[in-house]
Amino acid sequence: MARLEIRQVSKIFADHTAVSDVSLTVNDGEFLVLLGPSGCGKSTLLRMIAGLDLPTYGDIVIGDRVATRLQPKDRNIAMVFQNYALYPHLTVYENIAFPLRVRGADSRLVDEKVQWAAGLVGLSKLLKRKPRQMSGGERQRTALARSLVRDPDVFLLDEPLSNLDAKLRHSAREELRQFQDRVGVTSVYVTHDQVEAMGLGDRIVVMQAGTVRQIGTPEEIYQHPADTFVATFMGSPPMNLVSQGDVTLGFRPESFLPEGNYPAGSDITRISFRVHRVEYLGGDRLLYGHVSGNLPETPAIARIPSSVAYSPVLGSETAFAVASGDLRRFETASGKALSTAVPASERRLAHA
Amino acid sequence: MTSATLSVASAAERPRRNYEMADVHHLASRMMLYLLVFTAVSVVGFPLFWMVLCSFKPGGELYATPPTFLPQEWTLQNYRDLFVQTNFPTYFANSLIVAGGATLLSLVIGGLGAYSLSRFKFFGIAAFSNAALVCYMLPEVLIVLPLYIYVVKLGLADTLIALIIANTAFTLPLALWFMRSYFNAIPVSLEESAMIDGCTRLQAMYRVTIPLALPGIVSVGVFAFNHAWNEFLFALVFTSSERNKTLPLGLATWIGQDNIYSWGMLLAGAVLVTIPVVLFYLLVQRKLVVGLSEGGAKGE
Repeated sequence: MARLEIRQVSKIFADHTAVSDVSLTVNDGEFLVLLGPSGCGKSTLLRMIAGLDLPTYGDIVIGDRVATRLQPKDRNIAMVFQNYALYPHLTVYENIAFPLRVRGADSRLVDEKVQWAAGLVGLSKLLKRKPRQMSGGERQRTALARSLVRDPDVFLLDEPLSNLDAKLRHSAREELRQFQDRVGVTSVYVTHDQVEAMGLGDRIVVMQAGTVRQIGTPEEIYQHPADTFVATFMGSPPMNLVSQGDVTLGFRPESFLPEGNYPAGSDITRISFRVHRVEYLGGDRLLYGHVSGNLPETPAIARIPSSVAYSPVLGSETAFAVASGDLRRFETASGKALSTAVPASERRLAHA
Repeated sequence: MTSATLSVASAAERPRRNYEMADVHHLASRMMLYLLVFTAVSVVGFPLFWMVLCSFKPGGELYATPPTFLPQEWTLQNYRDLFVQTNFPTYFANSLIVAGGATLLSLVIGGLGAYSLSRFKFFGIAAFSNAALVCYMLPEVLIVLPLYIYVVKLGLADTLIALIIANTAFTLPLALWFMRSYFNAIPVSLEESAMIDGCTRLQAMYRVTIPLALPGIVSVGVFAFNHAWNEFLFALVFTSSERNKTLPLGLATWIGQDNIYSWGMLLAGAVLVTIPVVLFYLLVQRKLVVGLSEGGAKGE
């Protein structure tokens, strides 16, 4: 187990810049998620940590070694690939044993370790199978077990859940998190799925076009997005943005409620809303419409719990409101957040 | 009540099978398959069978009219003559050395080359792989004379090494292209994973890529062995002494030696030439079939 530090790393391919000037630190035992749309450089960053690609600029430090030019095999890292990269010609047992066999470990030790790792992920009964005889979830757990048998310093995961179906993905996510809590190894997890990122990460790094947009805990990123990209990337449906000259107002659909829902005298900002369409989702209703009144006409979405008694009248202007504490302000030109009230915890982590 | 009885009655009877065009097609394709198998057995199998039978017939019986089917008198005379009167064991050993050497070289050089073609990108590599394929288009007859000059200048005339090199040179382009496509089909992430798990690149290749590419490697091996084993022209041009003749050359020169062909010995020789090839096929066939079916089911 070790701390991982990325110092001003850039990766420039012949025709484009994949990662540009990224610096971040993963603390010992932390579960860090790299989140971003496809092509944002998060996988490239992971490959550079793994040693599969050499950073064009900058350094990668694992523990207290500068690992920039170390071969993958000398870094003591483990990686779970998107397609799991299980060796099709080997049994599950041999797949898990592979990293130990390569190091020429004693066969008694190999057996002990394989049984331990297989037990940890619940594969003890399937050790004689070949990968192609197993389901997606079992393959994923095999890949996990293989990456754990040799106590890696850093554990890298490249979208390991993306090949699973929705239901399995949910349970696998839970297992993965429980598992990381138990093992406590420093982990870097790449995904484009914000739900995975929010559910798994101790901290999330939001990336876009090769740059880091924000680093913070899931709550910080959701509640205090650093810019309009993060604001609209996180959350489904995304944050409503209404630009009003130099300042863009942002508010989450779930904090955008009919005025009557707020107790009298609370600090709210009134926004009138014209509903066009209602989508019933079971637990919630999504109201699609436009904000209007003293704000420029802008499409917006409100999310109202079904338990709230409210029957929208389509097409007519209704008085909605946002609690002033939930209102975010961004600079229209740069998209950067204007809010000065950065929570103390975020400030501390940013300089950690 | 009536409807209940009716349904019970009809359930006892099996519903009528609805035949369709696909059934006819199925039947037709079965018939075609058996016809093809029959043709293959009679055209390819019978001469082989006849060769084996005749190699056990005594000299006179070979010329009998009408020909006898089974030998009236089984004899090993032809085989005895073959070993006593000719240098058959030398030819055989030479052929084994040449074919084995050429196969090994083709696999090692071709395998490493194909791996590079498949995994690395650097200047001239695409041009090189295309040029290699163009080389394969040149017929043996065309390259044998220039090669002969090289062989003489390098002092390799009348050696088995010259034959090994020439045969390797001839099979290498195909080996390169064939194995490259096999390597291309193996996901790079498997090797990357092996390297993270502690392998060097060569170890990753040896432990992961090669076992997965085995069917391709085996087919290239079969091809290279077969080619070198049957090769005649290089052997004819590059070797001259009796000591260094390979089987095809040995058998051929010795057919025209006397005015009368000794068919019995020739057939016995042919049987012995065929045996290693058949054995080799039997040995690798299982690997070939298993490998192909494994490649079919994606085992990511």
